[in-house]
Amino acid sequence: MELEALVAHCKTGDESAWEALVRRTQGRVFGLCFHYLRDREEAREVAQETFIRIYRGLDSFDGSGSFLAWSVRIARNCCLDRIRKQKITPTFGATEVDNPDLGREFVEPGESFVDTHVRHELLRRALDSMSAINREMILLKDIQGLKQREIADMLSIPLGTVKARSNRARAELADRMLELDPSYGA
Amino acid sequence: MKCVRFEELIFERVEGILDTETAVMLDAHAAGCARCADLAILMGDGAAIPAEDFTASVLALTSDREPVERALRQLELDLPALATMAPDDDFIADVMAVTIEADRMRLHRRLGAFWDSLIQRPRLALEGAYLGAVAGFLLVGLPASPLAGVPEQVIHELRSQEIAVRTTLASSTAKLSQFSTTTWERAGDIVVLPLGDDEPGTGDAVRLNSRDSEWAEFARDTAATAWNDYVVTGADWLLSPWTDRATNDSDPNESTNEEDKDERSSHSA
Repeated sequence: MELEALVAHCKTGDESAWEALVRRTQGRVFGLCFHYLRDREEAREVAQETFIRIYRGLDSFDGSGSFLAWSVRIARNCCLDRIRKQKITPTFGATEVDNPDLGREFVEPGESFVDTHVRHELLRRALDSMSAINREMILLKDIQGLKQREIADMLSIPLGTVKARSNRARAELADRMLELDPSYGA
Repeated sequence: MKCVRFEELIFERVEGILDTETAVMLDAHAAGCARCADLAILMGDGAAIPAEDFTASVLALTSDREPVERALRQLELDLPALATMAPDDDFIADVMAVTIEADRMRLHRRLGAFWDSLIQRPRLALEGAYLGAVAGFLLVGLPASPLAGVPEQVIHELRSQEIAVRTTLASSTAKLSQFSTTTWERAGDIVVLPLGDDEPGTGDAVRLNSRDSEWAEFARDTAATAWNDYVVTGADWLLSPWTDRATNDSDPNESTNEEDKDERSSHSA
C-alpha cells in the first residue's frame, strides 16, 4: 500500500494502518534524526517525538505535498528544537560507527559487507567535516531524496539557491571523500 | 555582492533570465571570488567567468576532474543508503504506546474534564434541587403517584415508635458528646506534649520556652471549655425536647413499677 493510502487509512482511526505507517517510515525518520543529532539515544527520543507530532497532525496533512516531505519537515523541526533546547553540538560518536550491523542491508552486489560498512563510515565522517549548511543540503536532497522545490519551501530559500547549494555541497563532499580515501569511486 | 547573493542569482543567470546590469555585478564578484567562480563552472555558467580567465580556469579545474567525477558518481549510489537507519526493536511498541495509547488516555481525560466542567457549574446545585423537587413531587405528590402513600406511612410508623426514637436520639447525643470531648482533649495533649521543657527527646532547637508552653496549655483549656460550654451544651439544648420527653416517659414507668412492687408486697403481707 502506498504511503498516501496508508495516511488516508490512519485518518479514519485505523490503528493497524498507523502501525504499518510507523513501520514503513521509522528507519527514515530515525536515520534523519541521527544525522542531525549524531547520538543514537537522542535520535530515538526525537524520532519518537516526531511520530507523536505526525500522529497528532495527521488531520492537518491535506495530501497536497508528499507525506515524505511533510514527515521530514516535522522531524527536522523536532531535531532543531532539541538542538536549541539542549544547546548540543552534534558530533559523531563511536556508537553508530562501531555498530557491526550498520548498513548490512545496503551491501552492493559483488562487494563485501566490510567494504560497504567502511565506505559508509567514511561517508559519515566526510559529512561531519562539512559545513552545516552544505551537510543539510546533502541530507535533504541526496540522502532523503526530497525535491528541490520541497527543500526550498522547507528552508524558506529561493529554488535557485537550493540548486546552487546542492551542487556546491556535492562538490565539497566529493572533495572530502577523496581526502579520506583517494580511491573513492575508483 | 556577497556570495549568498551570488548563489541566488547564478541560477537565474544560467537560465538566461538575469538582467544585464546584475550580470555585470555577478561577473565582477566571480572575478574576485574563487569559490563563486567554481560554482559558476559547476552550474555550467561559463559567462560568469571573465573570458580571459575562463579557459585557464576550466583547464585548471578539469585537469584533475576525473577523481571528482568518479566520487560524485559513487556518492549518488552511496548517499541514498544512508537515508534509513534501523532503531531498536522496542521502538515500534514505544511509538504505539505514546500515540495510540496516549490518545486513548487523552480521550479519557477529555471526557473527565467535560464531566468536571459539567458537574462543577454553579448552576448545577440549583438545577439539581429543581429536578429533585419536581421528581419528588411526581413520585409522591400526586394522587396517582407510585409512592403517594409512602410519606404518610413513614410518619405513622415514626409516631408509633416515638419512645424508641427519642431514646435512641438521647443515647446518640450522649455518646457524641463524650466522643467529641475526649477527641478534643487528646488533640490538645498532642499539641502541648512536644512543647514541654521536660519532655524527653525535645531538643533545644525545637523546645519552646515555658511561656509558650503555658500559652499552649491555656489555649487547649480555653478551647476545651468553649467546646463543652457552647458546642456540647448547645447540642444538648437543641435535642432537649426529645431527650427530656424520653426521660419523662421512662420515669413514670419506673415509679409505676415501684408502686406495683409496693402493692404486691402489701398484698403479700
